[in-house]
Formats: sequence, structure tokens, C-alpha cells
Amino acid sequence: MSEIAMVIYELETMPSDTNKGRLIKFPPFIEQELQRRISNNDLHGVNLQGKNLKGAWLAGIDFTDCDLTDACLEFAVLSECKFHNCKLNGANLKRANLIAADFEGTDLRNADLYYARLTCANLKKADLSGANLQRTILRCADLSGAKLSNTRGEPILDRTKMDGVLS
Amino acid sequence: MIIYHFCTSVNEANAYLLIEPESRESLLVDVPEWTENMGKVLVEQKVKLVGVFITHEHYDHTSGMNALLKSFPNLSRYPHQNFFNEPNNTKYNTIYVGKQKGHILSLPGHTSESVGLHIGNIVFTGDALFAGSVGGTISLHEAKQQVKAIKENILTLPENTIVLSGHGPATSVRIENKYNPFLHN
Repeated sequence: MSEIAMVIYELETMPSDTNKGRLIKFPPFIEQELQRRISNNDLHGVNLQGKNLKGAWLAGIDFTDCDLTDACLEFAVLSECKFHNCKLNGANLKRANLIAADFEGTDLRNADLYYARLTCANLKKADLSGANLQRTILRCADLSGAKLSNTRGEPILDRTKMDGVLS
Repeated sequence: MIIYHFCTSVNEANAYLLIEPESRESLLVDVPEWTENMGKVLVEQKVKLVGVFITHEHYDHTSGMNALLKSFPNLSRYPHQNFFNEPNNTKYNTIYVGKQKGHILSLPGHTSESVGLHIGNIVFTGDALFAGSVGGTISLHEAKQQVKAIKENILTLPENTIVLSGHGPATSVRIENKYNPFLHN
């Protein structure tokens, strides 16, 4: 027997009564320069094509204009992240925490969103053509004007805005 | 603290191995299966397993118990049965992993004996609270009981507390407080 996935979290030592700073250290496979840029929320336009960011705690980071094509973000915590004008085609977002993430107009073609949590996410005009939406949780998400042609799987839709969806 | 998060093949339920680095003591939270890799982590990290904490008695959180006990026959199991009769008794609601003190939380709803564990900056919530969701219940009464328990015992923790649940990814108390639609209806 073996597990489906394994992620290691090393907690930052910090007072528990403050809301500042990181909660979990960067995984060792993320290089120092990228760690610095993430810490400074300075990722504007960075090429992260094919990068392994599995299980990383990246909540609230602004990925505007980044290229995350084919990146591995499985189990990553990306709640409240901004992905404006970001390329996420073919990205592995399986089981990721994408609560309240902003994907307005984002390229998510062929992305794997299996069992990803997109509660309250903004997916207005996002291109999800060919994406895997099996068990994807889209509760209270906004998919107005999103492209959903050739998507696979059955997502969980509950209070999901679907006005003008293109399928 | 270091936490190994295993997404298992049993209904994709999570098991967690919490390691207190100074003492090298560790605690396993739920055991959907006991895999060779989990045992290997204990050996490689040179840690002593001091107990197993079960969040609730569903098969996808306990199926690996027999295999685990074959390797660790004298392993302490938490919570102690007396916890459910005396939840305020520190003898039963407290767990130590090295010097790190953990506090057991009552989270009835998904099952009547569902529990969580608050330790350091982490709260393990089992199937009571997930990222953006809550556990299934058999009736509206249990659903209300569960939301009440979450509000009283989890949402009152510091906002930056990391939430590790029985299925799916990590989240935080702040995110759940702000966006979880089941907690605000």
C-alpha cells in the first residue's frame, strides 16, 4: 500500500497571537530566490512554468502576469491569491485550496482541478476549456462568462453563479 | 513542529504525523491505513511514536489501526474513553508530544464522538471542518450541533491557526471564518 500524496509542513516559530508573517516554512525544493520573491509578494510576471510548488503555503500571494503553465500546485494553499492574466494551462491544481482566489479572465485550459476547493472563487470570464472538474468544489463561486467547453468530470455546484457561461 | 500529511488511498482520507523536533516524539492523527512509507518516515526521522489520536470512528480514519498496532502494540490511543464523560478533566483532555501541550476539543455532529486536537498553532478537525465545508450529518439537529461546536471551539482560536482536516487541503481559522458558507447561514 502507498499513499496518494505526501506533503511535509514545517511550522514557523512565531507567537500565536499575531496574524503577520508566514505560517509554514517553504518546502526545501523551492529555491531561495523564489522564496524571497514570494515573501516580498513580488512575483509580478515571473516565469514559474513547470515549477513544483506542491503543498506550499502561498495564501494571499499576487501571481498577476505569472506563467504557471504545467506547474504542480497539488495540495497548495492558494486562498485569496490573485491570478489575473496568469497562465495556468495544464497546471496541476489537484486538491488545492483555492478558496476566494481570483481567476478573473485567467487561462486555466486543461488545468487539473480534481477535488480542488474553489469556494467563493472569482472565475469570471476564465477559460476552463478542457479542464478536469471532477469533484471540484465550486460552491458560491462566480463563473459568469467562463468558458467551459470540453471540461471533464462532475463539479459540485451550489449557489454557483453561471450567467453567460460558454460551453 | 513538523507535520507529515499523508493523503491515503482509503477514501482520500488524511493521516498526519506530528513531530515535536526537540524531543523527537511524534503523534499520529488518524490512521486510514498504515503504510510502509509511514513506518519509513518514523525510522528515517528517528522519531518515537507516542500515540495515535482518532478524530472519529469511521472506517476511513481507523482502517489502519490493526496494522499499526502490530508494529506498535503498546501505543497509547487518544482520546481516552473517559474524555467523553469528563471533557473538562485535564487528565483526559490534554495530550503531550514532547513539551508541546495539546488540547482535545469536542466537535459532535458528524459523529456524536467527533473530536479535534489543538496543539501549538495547529488544529486537527477530522471530518467536522474542511476547507470551505463541514462534515455531513444525519439530521439537521446534528448539523446545528456541529456548527455550534465549530464556532465555539475552532473559530475562537487565533486567526492564524492552521486547520488540518480529515480530507482535502490545509486552511486557516481566518479563511474559514471569512468564507466557509456553512458557518454563516
